[in-house]
Amino acid sequence: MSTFYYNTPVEEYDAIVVGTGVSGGWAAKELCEQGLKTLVLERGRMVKHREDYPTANLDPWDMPNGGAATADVKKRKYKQARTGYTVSASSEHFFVDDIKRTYNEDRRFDWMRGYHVGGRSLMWGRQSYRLSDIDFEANLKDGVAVDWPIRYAEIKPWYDKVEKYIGVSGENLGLPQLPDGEFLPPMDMNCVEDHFKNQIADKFTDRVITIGRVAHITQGTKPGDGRSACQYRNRCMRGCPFGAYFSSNSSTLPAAEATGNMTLRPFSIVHEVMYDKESGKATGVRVIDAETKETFEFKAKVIFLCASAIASASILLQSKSDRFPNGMGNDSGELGHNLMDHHFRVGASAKFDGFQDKYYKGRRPNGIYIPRFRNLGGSSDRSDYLRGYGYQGGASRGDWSEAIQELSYGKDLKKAVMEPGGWTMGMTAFGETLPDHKNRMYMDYDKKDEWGLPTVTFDADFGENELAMRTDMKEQAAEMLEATGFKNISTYDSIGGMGLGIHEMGTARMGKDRKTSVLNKNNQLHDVPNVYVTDGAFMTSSACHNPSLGYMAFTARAASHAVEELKKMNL
Amino acid sequence: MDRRRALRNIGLTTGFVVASPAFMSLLQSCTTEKASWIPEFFTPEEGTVLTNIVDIIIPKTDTPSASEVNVPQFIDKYIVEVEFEEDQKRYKRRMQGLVNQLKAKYSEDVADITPEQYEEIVAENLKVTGDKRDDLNKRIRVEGNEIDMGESEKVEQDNEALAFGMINDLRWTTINAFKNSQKIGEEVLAYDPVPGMYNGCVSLEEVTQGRAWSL
Repeated sequence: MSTFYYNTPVEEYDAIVVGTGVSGGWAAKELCEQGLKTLVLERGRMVKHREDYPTANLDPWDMPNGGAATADVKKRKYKQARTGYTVSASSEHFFVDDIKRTYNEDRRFDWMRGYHVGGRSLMWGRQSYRLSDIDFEANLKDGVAVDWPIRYAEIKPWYDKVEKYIGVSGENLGLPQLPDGEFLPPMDMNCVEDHFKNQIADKFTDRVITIGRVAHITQGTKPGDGRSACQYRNRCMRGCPFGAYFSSNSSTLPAAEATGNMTLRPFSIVHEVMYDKESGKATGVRVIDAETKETFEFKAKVIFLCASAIASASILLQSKSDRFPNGMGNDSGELGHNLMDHHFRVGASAKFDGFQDKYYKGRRPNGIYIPRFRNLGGSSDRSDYLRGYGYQGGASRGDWSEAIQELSYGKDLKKAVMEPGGWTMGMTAFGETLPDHKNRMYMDYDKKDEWGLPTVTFDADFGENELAMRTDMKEQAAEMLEATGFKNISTYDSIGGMGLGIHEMGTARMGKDRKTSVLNKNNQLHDVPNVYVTDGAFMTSSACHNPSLGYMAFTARAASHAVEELKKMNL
Repeated sequence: MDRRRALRNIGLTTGFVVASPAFMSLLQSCTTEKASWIPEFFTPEEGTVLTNIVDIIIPKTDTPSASEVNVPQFIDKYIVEVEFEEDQKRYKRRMQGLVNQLKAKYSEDVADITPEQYEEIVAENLKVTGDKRDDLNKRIRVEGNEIDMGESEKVEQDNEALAFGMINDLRWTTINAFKNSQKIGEEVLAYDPVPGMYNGCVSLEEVTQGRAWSL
């Protein structure tokens, strides 16, 4: 017996949304609010806001082994464990089992994900930045890949709408490379970060330090299911009982539910979009029940693929017909290609002598941010690489136990363990990755999963431009720390696999020309106008910062477009 | 909050007894419960050694010692549930080397080894510096990668290096387990489960009276 939430199933829907993460939640909300009877399909289990956050209030001593990931979990989730933080007892239930949810790697790719209602909107990093015209114009200017079919002015109102609705805290800086937004009050910096900010302002003319822009309520409330202000517990990845950060579960899905127009069906693996040759349109989707393995067809006038860059491309690649022998909307041959992620895990850390009598109160789920300062014209331009990077970082106090060898054991060690140690500042750079046709994912029809579906194979890696950029990312981190009075500076560069940034993008890129791109400027398949793809797949270039806010803005815009087109009887 | 309380109580009911005089007196001083602990990973003899060593690393002061907040049990269970097999083997080998070293130096019966003698071996291995430390670090790596315990009868074991490795491992694991205990986390360190606000620059003395936050 399959479970439908909120409504009983009907013969035909106005819209189907595949996926419930940041994009799927927004599609569901916008389509339902504009009156469309919408079926929302999620391949994983139900997660209800608050009641399905089992670890949200646990301290380390409430969990076995202080919450450390067990050997059993590390064996089952051996790829998810590559992040180093996702499979601990506090959050492993939100990440997939790699043996059950297998994928293949021609080249290493770290595909981190959770199969449940809310998707990665529950575990995301919450850093929220806007794309700028410098990003939208970059491919054209550099002669890389294809031009974005859109510019900032067209998407700005949608960023405004999304930020106001979800709540993003931060500081407006008036920078062309990082547009201002509709922000709630910024979070506070600590003493050492403040020192760093002021010193950088004194010693560098080309860069600024700000607090991270995060999707957290810092004042008042926001719509959804009881969303209130951040309590500074920094346990976001477990689900927030206060609804203080944006998730589909706390925000957009409750809004969609409130309209009475949403039917939500978990355990629904969408593997194909059905196509009608006569009308040239999609007619619905084929689904396998993840638990019972029953098969279904659901029909609708418009389909939103919001399953993630990889999963949406995978569904389209599997949607083969006489018209689309290589996958729906894939006349260009670009579907599954141009796969991008941000490269990071490079930077520096250092000690700071001073502020020993100062501390902080609260566990801020955020850090400082240094917006991109390279290749913005004039003296910022580099000859050794294209594009740029930003830094995320922060200062904190650990304890003294590792710092002072003399305190090796006994009462002195015990005392050192009980007191805050010296200040440490860490900085990690996140860099833009250029789109490259050779970086791709494709379907392996010989290796099937337990539902009889082909599995995803990755064949991608970072390129020369990224590697050249990393040298500068490391050097500038050290240089800034050096110039601002930090001591014991150490740099690091540990690139890891593509995917670790958990920002998969580009597999169904937007473009002006149907011969070289998959989607048009409205996120529609060029050749199947009633199929929209609004997750990371649409990204024509990656920019250098966290992309989720953009997925929401583009999804809201695409949903509005779909409703208008339906009214005009164009779909 | 019932579930939270229930979870906490699981941690509290796991008491233990080891045949060490130092430990027995500790137990008698803090509880009248007849508790018993049979290590899962370590042998009872190794459990005795473990309990004595962690209390040298973090002794009783006006706050509890490591063993009083069940650090030995935490470490034993952690190795069983968290560590992979190869790391379990490493722990086993090092602990056996440490026990051999203790027996050779002090007494065939570990129950006879005094707290002063435990402190001596801890000091020798944690306060060692310079060339000697470099030498031991080199030797522990060789030994660790050489051969499984089961087949090692024919090989001369470098007990000195293994003891060095074990005591140095225990330093970190003891601190980790101690800070992850409920008693220390909630009552000794500054505990603030729901801060409700963030202030990035406050007086250390005023906000925690000089203590570190536990979370």
